[in-house]
Amino acid sequence: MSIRVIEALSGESTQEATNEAGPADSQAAKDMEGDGAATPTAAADDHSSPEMGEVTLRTAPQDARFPTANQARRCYVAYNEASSLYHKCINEKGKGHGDCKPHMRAFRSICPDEWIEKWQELREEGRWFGRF
Amino acid sequence: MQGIIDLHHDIVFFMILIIVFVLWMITRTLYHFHYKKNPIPEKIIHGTAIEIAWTVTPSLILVLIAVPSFALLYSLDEVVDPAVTIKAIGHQWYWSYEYSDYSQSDDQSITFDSYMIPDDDLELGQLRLLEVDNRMVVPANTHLRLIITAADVLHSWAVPSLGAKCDAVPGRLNQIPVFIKREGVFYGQCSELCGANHAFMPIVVEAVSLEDYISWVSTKLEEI
Repeated sequence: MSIRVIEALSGESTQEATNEAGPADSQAAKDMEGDGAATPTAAADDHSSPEMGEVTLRTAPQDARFPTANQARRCYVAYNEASSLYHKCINEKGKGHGDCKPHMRAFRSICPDEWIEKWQELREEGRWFGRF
Repeated sequence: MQGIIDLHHDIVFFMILIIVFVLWMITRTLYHFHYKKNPIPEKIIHGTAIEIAWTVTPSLILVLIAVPSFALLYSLDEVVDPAVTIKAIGHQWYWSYEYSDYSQSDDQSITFDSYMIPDDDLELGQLRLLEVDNRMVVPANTHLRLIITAADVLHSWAVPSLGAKCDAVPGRLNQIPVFIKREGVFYGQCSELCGANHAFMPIVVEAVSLEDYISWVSTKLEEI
């Protein structure tokens, strides 16, 4: 079974997201692109064989807005940014459009699953306190 | 970790010089204080110059130690853009690890619990109180980002051979950079009192080659 994992991590979302999200995200996007050239991604692709599946070694880069050790704020901000981008995408493209899914992925590397599930439950109960 | 080792070597070198000097002074004083060889000891009370010297010199030595020490302290906080992010979550009384870099939006991440192997279940050659059922597998010679948090009470994720120790605080995501220079198995234990079985929730990090890591991730993804 061949596994292809498509990454769209923070800062590296679609072009429209880069344009709309503001200077911080585009800076992160540039960082991501700069890193793409030199990261172990190339090494990972060299080592992974088709039988094993394709797994790319990439993760969210450093976010200069959050230089401290505690990344809890970054997780929350990334989740909210992803939610707002996702909703913009839904509004423009309609619900169920496949292209909108990458937006909801940007925070997964930073936020624990437990936190995301808890926020998901709050959304379902209608008690979500974020903007989107 | 290498920075910690180098600083330690530098400080210990000068510390040995100081220790030898101080012990020599003390030994010499005791030796010459013999009641027969030295029946009337000196009664020197003041000596301004020497007093200034032996106050200022240790202060200077401390400042000299502080400079590389602070440099190391701040450099330990820097996270070089990592290739892998792993979340280590402390529970009562086990660790769970999440590898979320490989998940699609609604897919679950690779996540598993890491329980200590009890004494009765140990196989020959395994280490008591240190072995776990599922080790945290990472690629060697790769910059990693570890995000440490807790689900209930305070814990602390510590692996001394990697120079890593970080408190796991509920509601906080502590980020530490880790870089493992060789393949191997590295052990650690929970370092913050967290209840009855605080001593029985160890950490095992297994650093493997990049190929082995990728095949491990592929296997785990298939299991989801």
